[in-house]
Amino acid sequence: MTTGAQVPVPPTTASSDWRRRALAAVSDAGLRSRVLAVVLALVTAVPVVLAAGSDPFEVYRAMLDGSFGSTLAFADVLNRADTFILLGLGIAISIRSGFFNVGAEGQLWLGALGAAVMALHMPGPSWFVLVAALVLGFVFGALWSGLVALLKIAFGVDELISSLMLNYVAILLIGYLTFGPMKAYRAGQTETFEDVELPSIFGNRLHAGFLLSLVAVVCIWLLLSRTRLGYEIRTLGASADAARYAGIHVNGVVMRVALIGGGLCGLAGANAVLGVQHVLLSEFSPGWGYTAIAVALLGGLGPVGVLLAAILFAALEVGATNMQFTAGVPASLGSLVEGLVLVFFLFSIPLTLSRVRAFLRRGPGSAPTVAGETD
Amino acid sequence: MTRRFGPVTANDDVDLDVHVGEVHALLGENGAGKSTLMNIVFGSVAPDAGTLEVDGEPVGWPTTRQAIERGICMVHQHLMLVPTLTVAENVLLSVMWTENGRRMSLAEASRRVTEIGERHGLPLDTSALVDDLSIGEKLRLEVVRSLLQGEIRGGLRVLILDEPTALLTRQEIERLFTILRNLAADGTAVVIITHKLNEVMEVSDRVTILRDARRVRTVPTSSTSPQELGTLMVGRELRPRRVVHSTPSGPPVLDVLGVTVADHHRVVVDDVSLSVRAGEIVGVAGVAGSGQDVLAECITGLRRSTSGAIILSGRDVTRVDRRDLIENDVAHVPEDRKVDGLVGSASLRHNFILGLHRWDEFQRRGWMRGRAIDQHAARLSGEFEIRTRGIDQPAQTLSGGNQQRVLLGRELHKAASLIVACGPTRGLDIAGTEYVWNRLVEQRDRGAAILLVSLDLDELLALSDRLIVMQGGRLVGELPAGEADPERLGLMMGGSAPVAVAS
Ligand SMILES: Nc1ncnc2c1ncn2[C@@H]1O[C@H](COP(=O)(O)OP(=O)(O)OP(=O)(O)O)[C@@H](O)[C@H]1O
Ligand SMILES: [Mg+2]
Repeated sequence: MTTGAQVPVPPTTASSDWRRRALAAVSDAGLRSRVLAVVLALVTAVPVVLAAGSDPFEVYRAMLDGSFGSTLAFADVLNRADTFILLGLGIAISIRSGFFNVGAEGQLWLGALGAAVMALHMPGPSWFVLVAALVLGFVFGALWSGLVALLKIAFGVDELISSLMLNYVAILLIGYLTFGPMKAYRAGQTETFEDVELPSIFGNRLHAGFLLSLVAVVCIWLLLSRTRLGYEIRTLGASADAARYAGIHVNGVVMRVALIGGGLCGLAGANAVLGVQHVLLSEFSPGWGYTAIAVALLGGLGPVGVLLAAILFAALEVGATNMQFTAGVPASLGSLVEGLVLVFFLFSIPLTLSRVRAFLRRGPGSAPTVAGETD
Repeated sequence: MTRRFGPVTANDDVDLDVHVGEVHALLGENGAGKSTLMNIVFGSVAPDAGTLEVDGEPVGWPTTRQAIERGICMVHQHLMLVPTLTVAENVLLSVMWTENGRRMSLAEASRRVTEIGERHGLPLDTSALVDDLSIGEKLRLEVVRSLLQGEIRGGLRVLILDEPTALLTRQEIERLFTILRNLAADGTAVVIITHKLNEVMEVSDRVTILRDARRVRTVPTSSTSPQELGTLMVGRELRPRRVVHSTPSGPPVLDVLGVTVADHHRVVVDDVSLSVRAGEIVGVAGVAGSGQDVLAECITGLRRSTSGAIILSGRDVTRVDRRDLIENDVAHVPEDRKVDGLVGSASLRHNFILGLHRWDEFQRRGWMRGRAIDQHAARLSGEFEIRTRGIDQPAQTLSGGNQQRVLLGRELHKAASLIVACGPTRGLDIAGTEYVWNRLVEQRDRGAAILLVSLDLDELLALSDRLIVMQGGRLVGELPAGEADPERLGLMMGGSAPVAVAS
């Protein structure tokens, strides 16, 4: 399609075409390649463990014990998973519409800021403050990503770049606030707000954040598969030209997706400060917003997949912490495995079963390209 | 060769032999398995069983790269080009090395494209963006690319063309056929897929007919007739159709008043005025890229005109949101279904409501009504005889003709007052074409105004009550159905005939 006298649309349709295709491949890849990726990642980490002078069996046993080994451990995993779930959902829904927002990290920080502001300054009963804090967290995250959408719609700025840049702005902003205007007795953090806390459920093991994220999973599932907006999101994500053909108001959908997706990431931030940290630190997040991109991709950009992938990643992190105590291997092994999972997953996508077969039969270079499309 | 896709058998023990120096036509209904068979030869689809021999030597299952190395090239039904790259860059993508193993440079690719173009009468602007080319030019590019690939491999052994003529005007088709015959004379085996029996008769030396994934027969063209081919292909005798032209007296539904469109400061539609009455089919003839597609985009609200007005049933819709138009009043069969009209990766269910998804029938207060959508999709699949394993099947895994049927089914279901149909039977087999023509005439008789944009003169002549001719963005003539014939239209399209009197 040539441009010119036509109805204005985001000018990135052609350039984001390859992204759309790549992501279609990610969401179409089967469960098999996902499981395979996890297994390969765990196997590949073995030499590293050996090099560190530990017994891999013991290490993985410790990891497993620390994550799925007991109810207590598993509750820990779920409590850790909620951040990844909310972030993963926010990222997944954005990408599903073809809006390649990598600003989850910034939206997460902004959400945390919104929640902290409310928790510190809002008078009233604590349940009320809690709800208000969650809402403001959502709103801050939504606005942060809405800004990205606005730049895209109004000026044609590629969202990949603007959202990434805004991550640094967000982190520096909170750095400034925690060392400056919002500083408590110690630099780099605000006053604590212990009394505004997400309630615990199921005999104090789980905090309500996990429940919140489950609700979000259901809502996003409904949104994508059952609503008109979901239909438009899926159409736009698959083909911008088809969306225009179908009379879909592309800019409107992009904006709404940005608000919802950013809101979910903001909620993740609010949830983290209100449920666990009870204070806003200048080092609030170790980069969850980036890890969550891996979660969203591994989860196939679908709500249920994101839920499972988030639990897996949370288990890796919680398990790795336990392993550090019992087996003496640094917990960063968990991050290593996370990274490997993603790498293997992305590599496994073009490795469809028929290619593997052809490869085994006749050696490399002879595997037929199985056409994804007919003529 | 045998190839199954899940429960669907696309090729069932099909034999085919193509000789050096012949043009071999492959004929069959939509979904008969023609593209699949050729994709197997080209190495882009692996067969479940079967053997492939080139020059008497078994080659196993090739990959596309091996196929190209052996001098087997294919022009696909849906062209395989990168729209954001230029002509020369696209060629360079697939022709990386020269004969003597040097890396080919962009300048060299560009030079050789021009050279081949000149030799074969396939001119191309090597620095143009593929996105800006007309479909006919894109096809030209694919042919040139294949020729160059062949040249580098020391001769094109086999050239496969999957429904190339669907994109071309009569003159272009004739030129292509000359090229194909020359290639054959130079020792290339040419395989061409087409649905047009007269083209088979014209260009081929032998014909192979596929039906329901099996080979029915291979016959020398000289010993057969279009009637016999039709019967072999469909399994029953085909009756030639007759469309009764109408002389509508209804009010004008569509009025286009002095519409001009400038694109990158180039005027692509120049002061065009026309009107279509209720109960009338107005055909728009013109070589590809004469502005007819842009005009269709303006009328259907996909693009804004630079000046002029478009009036639909008395309402000025020049600046109206496309959503308003297509939801009720306008059905639009776009030129390139793969780009606009269908979401390839989505299911038939999804595609059958594309653009209708805001109808109350399919959603209420923002919630989609799954049952109603499923019923709608199932009904249209049946009505348009779409070969599918179910409404969950992704659109892009249907055969080309069946994809077109999905699109038509959806658009004709609208009962719109204006139908803008661009190449509505592109890629359809004979029975399908006949069916669509009947449906269009039915819609006309119901009182719809139909603007038929087509490169196929037979189609235009068969259906149109009135014909207009565009050339270089301008309306250069208008003819009532009775006075039009292919020669006259051809001359007017080329701009070499005296401009006919507008009625
Ligand atoms: N990748 C695929 N997945 C599932 N089914 C497929 C796939 N490719 C082809 N088919 C099915 O195989 C059958 C034959 O398809 P093919 O594209 O070869 O038909 P064709 O003869 O080229 O038809 P047309 O004239 O419509 O282009 C069709 O029923 C089609 O739906
Ligand atoms: Mg085909």
